Amino acid sequence: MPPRSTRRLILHSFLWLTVCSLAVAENESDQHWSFQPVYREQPPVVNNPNWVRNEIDQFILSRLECQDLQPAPPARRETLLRRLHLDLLGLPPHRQELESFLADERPNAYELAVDRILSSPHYGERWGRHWLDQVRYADSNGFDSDHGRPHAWRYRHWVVDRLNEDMPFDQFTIEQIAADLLPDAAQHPEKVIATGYHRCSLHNTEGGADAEEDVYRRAMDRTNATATVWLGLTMQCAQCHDHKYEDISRLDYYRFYAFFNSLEEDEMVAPLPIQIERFTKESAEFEKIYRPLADRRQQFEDELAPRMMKQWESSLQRPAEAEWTILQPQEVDGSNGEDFTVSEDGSVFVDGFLPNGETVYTMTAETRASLVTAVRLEVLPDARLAANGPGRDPEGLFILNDVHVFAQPRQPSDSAAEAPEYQAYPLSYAFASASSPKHPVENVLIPNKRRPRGYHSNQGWAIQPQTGTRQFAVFELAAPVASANGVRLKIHLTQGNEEQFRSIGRFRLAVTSTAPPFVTEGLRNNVVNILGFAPESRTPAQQSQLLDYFCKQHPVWRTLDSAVQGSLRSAPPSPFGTKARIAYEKEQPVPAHDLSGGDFQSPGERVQRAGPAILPAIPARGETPDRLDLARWLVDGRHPLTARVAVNRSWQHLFGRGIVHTSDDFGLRGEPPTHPELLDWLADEYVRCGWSTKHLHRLIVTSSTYRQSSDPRPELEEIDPYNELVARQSRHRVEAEIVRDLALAVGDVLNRKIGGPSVVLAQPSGQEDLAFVHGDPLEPTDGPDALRRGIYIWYQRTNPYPMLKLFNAPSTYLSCTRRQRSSPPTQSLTRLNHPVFFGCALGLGERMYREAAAEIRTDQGIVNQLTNLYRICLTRSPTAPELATLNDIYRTNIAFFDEHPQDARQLVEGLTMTDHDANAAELATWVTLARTVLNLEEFIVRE
Amino acid sequence: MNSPIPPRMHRRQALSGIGTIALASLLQDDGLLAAHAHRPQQPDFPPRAKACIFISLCGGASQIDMFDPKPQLTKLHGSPLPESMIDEKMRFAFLEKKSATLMATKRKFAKHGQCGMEISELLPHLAGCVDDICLVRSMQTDSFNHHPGELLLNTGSTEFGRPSTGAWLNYGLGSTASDLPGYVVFTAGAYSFAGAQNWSNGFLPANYQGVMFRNGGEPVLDLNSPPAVTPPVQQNTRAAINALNRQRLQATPTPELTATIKSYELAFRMQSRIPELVDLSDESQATLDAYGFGRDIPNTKNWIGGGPDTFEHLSRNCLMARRLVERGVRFVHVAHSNWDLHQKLDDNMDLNCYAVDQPIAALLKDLKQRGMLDETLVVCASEFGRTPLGENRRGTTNITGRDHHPLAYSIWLAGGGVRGGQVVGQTDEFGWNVVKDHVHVHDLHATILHLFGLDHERLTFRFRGRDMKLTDIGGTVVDKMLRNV
Repeated sequence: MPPRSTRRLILHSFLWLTVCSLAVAENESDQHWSFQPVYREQPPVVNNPNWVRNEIDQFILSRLECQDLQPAPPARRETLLRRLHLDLLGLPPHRQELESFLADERPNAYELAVDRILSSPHYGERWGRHWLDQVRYADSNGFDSDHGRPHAWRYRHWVVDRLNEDMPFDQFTIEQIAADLLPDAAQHPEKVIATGYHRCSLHNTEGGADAEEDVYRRAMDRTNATATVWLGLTMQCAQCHDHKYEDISRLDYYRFYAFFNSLEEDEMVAPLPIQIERFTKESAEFEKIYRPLADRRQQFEDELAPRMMKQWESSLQRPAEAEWTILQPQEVDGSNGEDFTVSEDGSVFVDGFLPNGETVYTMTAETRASLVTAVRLEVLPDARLAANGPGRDPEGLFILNDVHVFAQPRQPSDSAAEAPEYQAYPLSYAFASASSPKHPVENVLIPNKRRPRGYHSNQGWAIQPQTGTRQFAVFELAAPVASANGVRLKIHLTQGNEEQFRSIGRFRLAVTSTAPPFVTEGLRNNVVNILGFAPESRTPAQQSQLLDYFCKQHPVWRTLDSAVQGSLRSAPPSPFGTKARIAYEKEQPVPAHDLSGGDFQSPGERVQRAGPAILPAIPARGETPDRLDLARWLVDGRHPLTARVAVNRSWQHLFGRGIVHTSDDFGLRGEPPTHPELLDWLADEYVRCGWSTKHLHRLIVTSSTYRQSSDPRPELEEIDPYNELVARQSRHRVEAEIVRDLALAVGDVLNRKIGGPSVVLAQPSGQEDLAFVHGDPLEPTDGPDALRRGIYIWYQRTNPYPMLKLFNAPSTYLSCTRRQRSSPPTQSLTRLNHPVFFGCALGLGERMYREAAAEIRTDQGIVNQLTNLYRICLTRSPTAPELATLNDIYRTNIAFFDEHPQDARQLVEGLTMTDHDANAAELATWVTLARTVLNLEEFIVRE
Repeated sequence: MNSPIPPRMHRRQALSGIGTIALASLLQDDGLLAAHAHRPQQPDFPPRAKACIFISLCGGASQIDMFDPKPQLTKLHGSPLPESMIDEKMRFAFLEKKSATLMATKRKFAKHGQCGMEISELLPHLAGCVDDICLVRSMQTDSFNHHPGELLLNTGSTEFGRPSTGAWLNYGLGSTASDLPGYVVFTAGAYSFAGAQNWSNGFLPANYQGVMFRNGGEPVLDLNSPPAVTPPVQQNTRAAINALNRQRLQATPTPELTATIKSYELAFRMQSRIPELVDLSDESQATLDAYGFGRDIPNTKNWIGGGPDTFEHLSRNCLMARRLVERGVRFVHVAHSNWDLHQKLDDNMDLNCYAVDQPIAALLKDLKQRGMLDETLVVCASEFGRTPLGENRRGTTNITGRDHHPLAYSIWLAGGGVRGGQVVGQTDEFGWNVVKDHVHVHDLHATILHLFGLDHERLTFRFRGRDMKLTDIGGTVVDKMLRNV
């Protein structure tokens, strides 16, 4: 039997219940409170109207008065300023902001401060993070492979921007759930970025996982998240069977699910407006450097090259037949531990593990030839391979993505000299005996095909339908390898990074010294073909292909080209690489079925889209409602849940506890609201003011209720242990990201840049082993980006940044509406010893030392600076007893460091100040004081 | 009182709330205990175990080659599995159902100990411990993929966001370690599946999550003071933080502030205690030898179970598990990965078994010799087993491995009230299905909790409207595993 949901309220509000009416307990209707329409009651009359600043206060005070209680006194002004800054921006006020606020004697100074704070662009970061918790945002897929999502940030950026411009919550909702279905979606494709909401679901790409099952699971994941985010309902309980507690059947579940199972997942080019603006500006600058260099190259191609080419052509005589020398492998290795068997004919047979992704074969061999101009790769059929090879795929397929050739002079075997380093020899030209249309061999020449982690290259050489036969590809080197005693080669063959199992099963490598262009095995490559025509009978296309070939092998052109390439490195990044992960409706909706036990292999009856039967029906524009109808229904202003759920979450973040404590569960098992009339009044007000979230926040933070002191009230602990009556403000630790932001801000090292891609931070060694990582590990960012706010830290689901996890950042596996707060000792270790936190202490200590260098060591100078330290970090001056303690600490430490100069110098050696030595003790003392204050409980508490 | 929630749970739930008085009073009556560790609660039954060492062989160890001898499989090597045995819905990660054939083990099995338990030659050291081991040959799980399989084994559900066994035990009983976390994790080898989710606190307070001890560098992240900070400077800073926090507590007596003060005190104690804990110089050479420190390191090229360091890591981690349990830590997770034997089964089994056999056996003997085994439950398990069929993954030309097998596999338990020297359950002649005494992962969890004196139906936590349990919606205590009292 479920417990009575009103149990606790009744326990401690017994007295109050006898006096006042409570909608929850007294309501005659059978329907659960949250499913009933929102009802805006007149705010109650109170005995002490002087305390009332707005309607919120009437509801709160009236209930306090029912129990003969007084609200808490207002918090001190500095506390209020810090509270506003932390709640609305997640950053501490500057000292100047504090001073001007304290000096502002206008009666509406507080309201003016609220307006200033609400218009800060950090507001979107602070409240955006709350929203990202709910939509389970992360930068990777989750599950075993946990591929990265390099474009996920674009949706985060959208969220931050929209909150900053106070996009009405109804529009905010509609665009995220159904922007793709909006009538103007075609005219405003940028709106579709909002559907990134649907792309926050987990995605299982583990080798051997059932891809079909994962499609179902992603749709269920969206269903569950949407129910939590907008409805505050635990619909996932009905995924396998009818909900045990709520009136939600499994059919209800799959009808709701049917809104989300026809989504096509895609990416779109989505540059930020600022990127385009910057690109336009920077391009003009870049042109000034690039154009002259490009012009010189062009001039060579247009004027010199045609003349020189004639000479070259005549010197070529007749293209020669290449002579090939088979390379006898000395070593062959595979990046997936494949087995290699070398035959006498120099061919290599591959066996053993067949990887389902990229693999690289590395072969080393020597040749006595003093010149190597080209490499030939033969792929060979073999009866041991499926479909006779030459690929290891069941149909004999393979895809060759990259060939890298490295060479060094061959060392005589008796030479004691150390072998010189391998040099890379880029390829300039390729041709093959056969290529499939989508995979011409030229693909292999395209450099930098590797995309960011999580993306597969889609370029390479394949030979279907000529599988099962011997084929070959020839790769000319841009510059030949020349070495009198012969050449030692190391060749990488990168394969299969486009599709599963596409690696080569048997191959052989050979080299030639013949000067290109040449003919091989009667195969005339394109260049040789063109050379066969008299110059005057060549088509313009042939002429330009030949010129291209000539230029690329000519040293002058290569010099000019490398200058151009060099300048390209400073080219402004193209804004069109910025993409957004989006979703849109498939042309044909996928039928949805009732899945018994949540098992996709057990489809029951087919279901049509509909909302849960306990809620008002969803009006449809067509025959059945679609996602857009669903989204509009959520925010039509009459929906009983959406506005209540949303205002409750804002309240929760501004008071540390929701009016409904279970902000993720408004159902029967959730806790009832402590102030039902207030909740409804706020919900109604939210809709009436056009769903303006900033209006709602302004209303709440300007109330007397919000401005109360958060000091504990021992006299209320017995009757109101959870502060459900809001007879004071709440005092609680800030979130993980804000803990770090605060330290960076007061350490004066915070990079306040807003928006943009996620920042990968260096993980402690060994930490990366926790995640099963395919492909390259992420390259950590250093430099100023490493000091950006916590919201921008790359969140790898299986291996998040440890500090965030430690301070209760959500797992991102489920929608999170309410974070935990705990204080394990590992948190203290991090605040004490983590390099970032220590760095902040150094920075802050140095700042304190510098600022007061002049007056330091006078008693008043020290007092002033200790006070400043508190004002910077805690937005208040120390109390008299605290100042006494701080003075003691100062004196103890300065005495210690005076006696132990080595300890002092060691502590501050990370600082680059020039006047260290003279004042190392002084500086070290301030660093210690800074470190102390950064570690105080109060530093990461919002009071 | 008609609330179905036992009173103990009211108190527990209160802990998850914000700004609770309960936390403050708990901290106060605990006196010595730190913020994360709560006074052990009154158990439901007399507990047999006080600590658990959970050894996981991540990726799926091959029961066919280690624990479950199948003479019939040897006879029928190379023939297909009888059609009747393959369920229509049965899916595999890589194996092609239609053309797969039975693959016998190359390993010899022999009877060991007084009980005559049969295990394979791959585990010569463990063979000396069989009289303390309860071998379960009838394990079953729900998932044939690693990530969900690991989650089920460690948290009782393939869903995300659930607390692990170690978190539940610490939540239910607290820890008796006053200056160490109650839940410690070691990993060794290549990489882990599901990562930190395997030792997550889920929706339980974060104090119950496993703290990872590392194989290199600082044993615990950020344990050491920054290099620039000398011990006296750290000591002075500690004193300063404490003085100011306590002064603030006078003015603002809140449970959170008390908790933070305790958390800093424990952090400083950890700073001084952990170096002593990880310093093995007080162990005799005989002990170190027994755990396999300094043993011969074979060639590890292409080994999926780690590198040359992995052998020493496992020796150290097993020994550390004992040292932690000695100091009152409730739950120690020792993970080795990986055992995902799709290829080169023979070579990898040789190396994997060589890596774990000696340290684990040494741990059992060591615990026994010190009189700790009776109160220390040791569990050794994978997320699933391996098929008695050879893996004929698409395109593979010769079969050298086995695929994932969730239907029937083997795990073992020892100590902590478990009846050793017995085999629970039986599989069919091919090792394909369980034919006797099915033990589901939920049953294993129910039994583990039972050994600690906890009723798995009553150890609950309200989350999203449901009273969540480690055993989710299943679980029956396996009486056969229990030693008669």
